[in-house]
Amino acid sequence: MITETNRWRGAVAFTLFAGAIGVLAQRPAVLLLAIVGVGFAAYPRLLSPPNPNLVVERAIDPETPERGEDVDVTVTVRNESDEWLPDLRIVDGVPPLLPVVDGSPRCATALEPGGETTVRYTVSAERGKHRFEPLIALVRDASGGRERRIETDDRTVIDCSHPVENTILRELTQWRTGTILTDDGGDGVEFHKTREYRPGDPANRVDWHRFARTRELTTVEFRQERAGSIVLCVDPVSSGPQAGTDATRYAVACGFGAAGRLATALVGDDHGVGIATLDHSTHWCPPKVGSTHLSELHEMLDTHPGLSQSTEAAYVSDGGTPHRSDGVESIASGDGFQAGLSDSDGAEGSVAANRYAAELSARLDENTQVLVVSPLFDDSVVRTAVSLESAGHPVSVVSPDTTGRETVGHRLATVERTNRIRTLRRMGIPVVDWDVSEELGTTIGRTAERTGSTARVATQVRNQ
Amino acid sequence: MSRSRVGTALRWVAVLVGLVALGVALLTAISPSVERTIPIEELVAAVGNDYILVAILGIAAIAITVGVLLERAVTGIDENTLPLVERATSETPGSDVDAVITDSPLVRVTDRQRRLHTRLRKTAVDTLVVTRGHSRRVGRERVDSGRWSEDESVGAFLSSETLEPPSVPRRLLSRLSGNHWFRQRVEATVRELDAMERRSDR
Repeated sequence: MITETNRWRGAVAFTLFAGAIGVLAQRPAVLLLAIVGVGFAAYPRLLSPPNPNLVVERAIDPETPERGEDVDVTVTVRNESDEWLPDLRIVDGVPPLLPVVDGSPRCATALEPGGETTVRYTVSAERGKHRFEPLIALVRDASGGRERRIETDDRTVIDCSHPVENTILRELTQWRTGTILTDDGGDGVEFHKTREYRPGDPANRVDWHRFARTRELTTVEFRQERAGSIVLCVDPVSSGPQAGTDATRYAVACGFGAAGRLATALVGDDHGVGIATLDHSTHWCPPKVGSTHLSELHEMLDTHPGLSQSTEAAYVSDGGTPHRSDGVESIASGDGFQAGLSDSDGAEGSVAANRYAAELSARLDENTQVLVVSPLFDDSVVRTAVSLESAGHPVSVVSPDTTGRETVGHRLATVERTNRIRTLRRMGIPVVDWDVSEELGTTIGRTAERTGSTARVATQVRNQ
Repeated sequence: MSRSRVGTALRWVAVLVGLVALGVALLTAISPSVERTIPIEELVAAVGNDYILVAILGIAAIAITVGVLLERAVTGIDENTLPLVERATSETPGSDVDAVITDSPLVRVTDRQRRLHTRLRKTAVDTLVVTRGHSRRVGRERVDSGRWSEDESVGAFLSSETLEPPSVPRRLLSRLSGNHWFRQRVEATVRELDAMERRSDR
C-alpha cells in the first residue's frame, strides 16, 4: 500500500499565497518566492509512486547450530522491477530471541533495475526452533513524498535443537513390527517366557537345552516389539494468562524444536507419527510413516503461526484472553483446573479443554497415543491431557522448563508449573520435566529410569 | 472533531484561500478593470515602498513556514519507521507478577492486585493438593481458614476470597517505610508456597 508521508505538507498553500501576493503587487521579487514554492509543491507529484518487485534470498550458516554458536546470516535483496528505487531501507526479521552479535541486519541504499544489495550479520543461537520474521522494506520515491511498506513472506528457520536418542512412549501399540517392547510374547529380541510346545512352532524357538535335560519340548517366547501410532500435541501457548507475552517465546521455541526432533526420532523407528497443536484442531496431520511424511510434519511445525515470535502477529489480545488474529477461535482457552481437579472458577476453561480433547480424540484411532509437548503455562493443557487419558489414549508429556527463581514472580510461576506436573503424575501421566539447559534425550533417559518401575511407561532407545 | 481532522480542514481552507487569491491575481493580470478595483498602488504608497511590502510578505512567509515546522514537530511526518530487531527480547515466566508488585499504587487497590490475590489463593489450594495429598475441598477449607500456613500473616492474607487491604494509614506507613504492604504479603506467600514444594521434594 502506498502512503503519503506528508513531507511536503504546506508547500502548496505557501506557493499559492506568495504567488497571489506577487501577482497582486506586481513585484517580481515576491513572485520569485512563489516559483521556489512551485518547485517544492510540484516535485513530489512529478514522480511516479514506487512499485518495486523485490526478491529476497536468505542464507544461514550453519542451519542447525549448537546452542551459543554464531550463525552467519546473509540476506540478498534484488530489484526485479524495471524502475529505479532511489530510497530503499530494509531491516531483516531477526528472530527476537537471537541477539545480533556482529554486523547489522539493516541497510539504506538505492537500487537500479536488476540491482541487488546484500546484508550480512551474525546472531547467537539459542535453544529451540526460531523462525525469521518477514523482512521489512520501505521504498520511497526520490522526493520522499510517498512510500510503500513491503513485508516478505519468508519461512527460514534456525533449528538449534539437539537430536534426541530417547523417546518416551506408553505401551499401547499397533500390530506392526517396531521398536516398542510389549508384554506380549512372540518374535523379538528380549526374553519373555517359555511355554509348552505347540505344533507349528518354529524349530529355532524350541528350547533344545531343556529338551536335552528333561525330554520336554518347550518354546521360547520373546517380548514382541511393535510400532506405535503417536500424535505429537504441541502447545503454542495461545491461551491462558501468559499467552502472547514475551515470557512464552523461549518456551514455545524450545517446544517446537523438541517436537521436530521427537518426530524425526519416532519416524526413524518406523512409528506412525502425527501432529496436532493445542490451539485449534485444524492444525492437524494424522499419523503416518515415512520420510515424505516427516518432511510434511516439519513443514507444519515450521509454518505454524504459533512459532511466530512476534506473538502479536499470530495472536492478539483485547485485554482478556488472547486469541488468534485471523478470527479462528482458540479451542483450549480459559484458566483453572477442571472439576475433580479444579476450582469452580475454571468451569469455562474446563469445557473448552474437554471439547478440544473430544475433537482430537475423535480423530485418533484406538491404538494411538498422545505425546504432549508443552511448557505447562496453562491449566487447560493439564485438563486436555487428563481428558485424553480418560478417553483411552495414553498420554505422555514433555515439558520444557524456562522458569526461573530470581524474583518473586519467577518463583510463583515455577510453583504453578510444578503443581501442574505433579497433578499429571498423580493421574498416571508420565512427564519429562526438561531443563532446557541440558539435552532433551538425557532428560528423557533419566525420566524413563525413574518411571520404568511403574511398568506403565515403555521406553525405547534408538540405535541399540 | 479529532485533531487530525481539524488539521486537514485547516489545510483545505488554506488551499481554498490560496486558489481564490491566485484567481483574483490572474484576473487583474488579464483584465485592467479588475486591476483598477484593487488599490495596489495606494497600498504600496501606504506601506512606504516596494521593499517594505516585500519585507512584510517575507515575514508572513517565514511565519507560515515556522508554523508548518512547528506542526510537524508536534505531529511528525507520517513516514514508517523500521523496528529495532538487534536485541533479543524475552522474559521469564512470572514477570507479570513482578510488574504488579512493582507498580503497586500508594493507597489504592487495583484490579491487577485483586487478580494476583485470586491467583495466589488458587495456587495455595493446588499446592496443598499435590504436596500434602489433600482433596480440593479440604485444601480450600484450609486456605479459607488461614491454617494452610504456620505464618499467621500469610494465612490471613489468603483467607478471604477478596483482597482485604489494611487501613489507609497502615498502607501509607508501609509505603513510606519502603516496604509496600502488598509486596510484603505476596513475597511472604510465595516464599511459603515455594518452601512447601521444596519440603515435599525431600
